[in-house]
Amino acid sequence: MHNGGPHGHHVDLLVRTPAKVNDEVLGWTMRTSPKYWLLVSALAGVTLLGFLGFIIKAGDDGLDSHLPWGYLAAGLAFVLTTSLSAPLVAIAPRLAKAHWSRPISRIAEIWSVAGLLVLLIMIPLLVSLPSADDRNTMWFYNKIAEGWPPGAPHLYIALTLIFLFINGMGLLWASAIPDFATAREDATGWRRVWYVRLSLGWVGTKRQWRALRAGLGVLGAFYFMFLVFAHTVVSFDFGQSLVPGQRDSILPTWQALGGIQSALALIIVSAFVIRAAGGFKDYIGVNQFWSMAKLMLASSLLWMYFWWSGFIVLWYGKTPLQQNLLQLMWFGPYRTIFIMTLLMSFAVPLLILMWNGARKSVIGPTIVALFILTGAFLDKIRIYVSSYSIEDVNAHTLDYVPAGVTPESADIMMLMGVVSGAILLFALALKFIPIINLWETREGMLLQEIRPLKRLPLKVLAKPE
Amino acid sequence: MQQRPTLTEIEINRDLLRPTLATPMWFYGLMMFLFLIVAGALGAFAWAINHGTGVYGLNRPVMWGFLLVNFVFWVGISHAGVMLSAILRLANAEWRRPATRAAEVLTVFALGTAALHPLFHLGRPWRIYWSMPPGYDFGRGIWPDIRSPFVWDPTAISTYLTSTALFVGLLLIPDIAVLRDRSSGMMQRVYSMMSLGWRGNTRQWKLQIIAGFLLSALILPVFVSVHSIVSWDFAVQIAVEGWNATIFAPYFVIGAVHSGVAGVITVLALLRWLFKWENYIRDDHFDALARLLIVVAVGWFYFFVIEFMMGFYPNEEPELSLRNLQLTEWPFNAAFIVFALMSFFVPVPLWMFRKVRRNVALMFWTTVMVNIGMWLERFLIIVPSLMRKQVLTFNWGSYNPSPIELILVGGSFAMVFLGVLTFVKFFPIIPLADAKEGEIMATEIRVGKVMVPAAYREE
Repeated sequence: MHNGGPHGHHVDLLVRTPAKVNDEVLGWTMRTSPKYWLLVSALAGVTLLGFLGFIIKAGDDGLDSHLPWGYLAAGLAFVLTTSLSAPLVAIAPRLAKAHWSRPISRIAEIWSVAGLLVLLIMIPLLVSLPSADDRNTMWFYNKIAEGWPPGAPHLYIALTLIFLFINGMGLLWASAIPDFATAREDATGWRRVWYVRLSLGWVGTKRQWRALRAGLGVLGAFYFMFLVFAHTVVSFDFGQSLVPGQRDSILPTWQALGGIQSALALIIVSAFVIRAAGGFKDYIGVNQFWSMAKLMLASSLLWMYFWWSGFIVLWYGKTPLQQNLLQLMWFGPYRTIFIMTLLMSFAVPLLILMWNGARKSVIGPTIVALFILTGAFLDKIRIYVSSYSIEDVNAHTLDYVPAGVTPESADIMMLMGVVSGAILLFALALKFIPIINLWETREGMLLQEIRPLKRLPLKVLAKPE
Repeated sequence: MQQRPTLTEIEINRDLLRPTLATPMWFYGLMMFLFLIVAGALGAFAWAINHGTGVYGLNRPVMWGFLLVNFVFWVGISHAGVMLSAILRLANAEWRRPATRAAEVLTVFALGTAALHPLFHLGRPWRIYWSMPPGYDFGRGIWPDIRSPFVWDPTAISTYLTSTALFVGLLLIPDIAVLRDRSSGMMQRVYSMMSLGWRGNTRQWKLQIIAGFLLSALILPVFVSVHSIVSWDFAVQIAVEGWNATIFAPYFVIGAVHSGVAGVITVLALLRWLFKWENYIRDDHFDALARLLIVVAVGWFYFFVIEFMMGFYPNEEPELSLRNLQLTEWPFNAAFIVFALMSFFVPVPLWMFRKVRRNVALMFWTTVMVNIGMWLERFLIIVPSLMRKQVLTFNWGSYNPSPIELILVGGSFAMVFLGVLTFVKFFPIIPLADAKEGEIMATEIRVGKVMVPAAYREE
């Protein structure tokens, strides 16, 4: 499990000098190989295919009705639950002063660039979303007809996602300022121009550091709140408010929790790829995978708990509406998808990660993460496609279960485009923004030592106030 | 961890065993006072048994009152034990050390007290026999309905109580061995039996640590299940407005953690004041617990908002009437305001300030405030919902708690604190072994000219 020395990668990283860390990370950031450009071209091609799929779909079905757009809504929810939730994995450990997250915090933050894609997908979804008048909505049902709150729900969905994107970009930029300052010293050409601009004259004075830490704290807290609110808004407005009579209060919280689970999975997979592609094995080691695997196991257990908590109340109630909801969401046309989700988001993570040997490795958590991402993808299809399949959203109750909606080729193209587009944006960003957080890594090196306790060499972790 | 004083093993033994080996007189006085309140509560219960449940203020359709509110409250408080002890142990958090046992002990006594409330509520405690396996009337083909949360409830609570008692007992073994070596007479014989021949050799420590971790991991699902099942007592009832909500289980659990962690902070502040344990329960421990509480409180508030908002979401008259009752009609509107202020809007902004988090008196009062708020939250969930007129309700009365119920509620608080004090009389409430290990693991790292507090970490 360990690679070198009694404490694996820690020893390897701790014997490096700060200058060596800068050279290795910035060298990789500023160097682009033909393989990289090939990857970017392939991703751009698939993304364009997705755009083509959208054009075909819009041409065939138009944007007047919400019915054809369930798969695109699932795509938006998937990017929200993975890419846009990823920065939480940088924010929470930073607040808790955990050292393990230092080398992967930038990977987590960079994923927020995919918010741009969310904003683009949001436009056709908002156009096709039916008015909230005379149906259940989180935006004050009985006041919409009177024009209050104005623009609900469309305006507020848009504002939520726009603010989330801006907040994510702000967080990414703020956390990268000291690294841009480091990069500007060696960079040339256009890179130097941009690094100088983006580093805002950073020289690392005490005042600047204080401001940076305060800023990261505030931006992190706001990001967390916006993200939870975004999950709430999306799960209501693109989900249950389209299903007459559904009042599933656990859904938004379950989606937010699923976001944490999927975000961890996404970062594990990204860290695995970057570790291999960039030769960062001494930076992103077993400790990072182990720590994230523990959280992923906990979030998988909670995922199941939240699902069960919602399910049991509906199952127990057994009113005609609740029986129809059970059929629509779980046991009817989407039963296979639901069973696969249950296996991938809960059973597989539990059965693999319950073993310490699997948790404390690089490959074990990565395999589980791939399952979780697939499970999350299927789960979004189940929730949003089924919700979008209801024709009469103004009905008082769900008195029938519509047939399942199988994806058309245009839907498949769009979904591929959404996933590919998010990866493309990430791939473009990681060749400009140092993928390993330089200042946090260097700080971590100062705050960790290997020291003997009696005769046993142990890691010592310092936690400043 | 800036203010850590260095303590020797002798000092740790002397300070932490003082309440057990050299109990001060005021301690007995306090115990006697609490005992009198408990005796009063038992007298009130005897009165209820003698006169029937008519002495409670219950009135159709409100057949669940203060006693069941208090039941949910104490089950909630009991959640802190595992939350702090098991999770922080698994997470290897250094600052857990002085808080874990107090939290576990609070769990045992809070849960034991909670378990009494259904008996109080029944008014005919012997009838509980029919809800337990020996009482099942198989001969006449009468089987318990295992689909009922009322059957799950006693199962979950008894499992949680047993496993928590086991958890406390197991982790006490090394400390009991220390007491065994410092006591005489009958107490020495008792401690000798309880310490199970502990000598502190490598094998024993290894087993102790593994057992501690395994129990921590195994007890977590039980802890979550207990309050979830309590929530399903309410949530599966489709006829009562405000209860049939899918979010209830996690909402109850996070609310329980909120009030439970607050309860642990209250107890720690009291222990620090009573036994002058400033070197053990330090300001930075309060700071860390308060930070945890901020996270829990914000999470709980999100669940509360979603749950409350769902009352307005379907725009249906009965549900809107319930919210109207909770928000605008006396005395529920006053209770709602006090609940909102005390459980979130006053304490959480205060905890944002480091000076508040490190001020023991302020932490004590703000956490007391949280638990007043959380008690009212349970009241607002249970009573107004039952007061809404249902289809086929032929009688619509209101609920006013009777003096007997008030005495029983007051007595339950005395019962828990009496239980904790009794434990303190016989066992160390701060784990000696943990405190000593903390001393060994504490160190510093030099960064420039500054010494930064640090700890050895075993992986």
